[in-house]
Amino acid sequence: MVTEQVGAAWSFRYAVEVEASARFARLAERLARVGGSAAVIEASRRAASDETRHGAHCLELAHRYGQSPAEQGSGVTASEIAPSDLGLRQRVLYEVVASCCVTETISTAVLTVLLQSSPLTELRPVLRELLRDEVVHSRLGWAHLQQEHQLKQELGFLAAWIPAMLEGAASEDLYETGSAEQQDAALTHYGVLPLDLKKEVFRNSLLQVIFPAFEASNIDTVPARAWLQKRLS
Amino acid sequence: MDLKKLFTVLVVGSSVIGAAAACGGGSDVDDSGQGQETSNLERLPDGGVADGGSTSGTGTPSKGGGVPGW
Repeated sequence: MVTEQVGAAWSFRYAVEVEASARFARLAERLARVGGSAAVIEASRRAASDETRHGAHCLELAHRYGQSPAEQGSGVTASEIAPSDLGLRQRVLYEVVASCCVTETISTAVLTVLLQSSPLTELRPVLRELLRDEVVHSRLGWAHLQQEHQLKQELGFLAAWIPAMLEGAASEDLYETGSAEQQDAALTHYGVLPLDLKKEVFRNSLLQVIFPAFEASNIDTVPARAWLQKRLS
Repeated sequence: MDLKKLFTVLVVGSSVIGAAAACGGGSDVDDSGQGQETSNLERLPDGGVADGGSTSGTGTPSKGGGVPGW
């Protein structure tokens, strides 16, 4: 029975979305402090609101599948992820790249594949809504990176940190063989990818979207590709 | 699995946001990359990957300096 796994997945996603809301709200403020474009700042503000709405969907689905995650209030703070020895502008760029260019891009890929994998009819509108928003959240990251590239900001420092971003984006189960329950194709009906498919989406998101995009901004992907080879070969 | 189309949608498509920035936004940062940063001495709180990761306010594990997702 997949119900337990489905409920746990939506419960985890609820926590992810709540934190994402706090992160985008904070990023909007920080982007303003480092001269981010008005459009990117506004997109980040909207993303904070989007993620709150997403969290409500995830919470409802967690409840539907038997989970009761602790509800988060408005006082949630997002973890600090950027290295503390970087300057302000680089730390903001780091957080935008990690959260938007990496995580939101992978989420977009997951949702795209889920919608192609015959989810339940009642789940389809929710997945479409989430996908529509995640596309914008990913784009705002690539737009900010592109702006920094055009302003001839030093982006090379990111290369050494991308493996850490990937490590943080990857869930622990990606490194596992997976049980029969984790590989159950029926999971897709409830908005969850079977483990091998989840690994494939993660890997292909990196190889086909994220790494080429970094390279387009002259960011070396050799360390990131080595991480992928070592961790998910 | 072919996700190459996502490169066009997300990366090339980010120019939609970039175009909006060109019309109504713009950066306050000069070419030297200083801009507001030099006039704002406030630092972000310490933490994150350099300090070995942290746990967020939601209890979502943040490991290695990245953001957990789907």
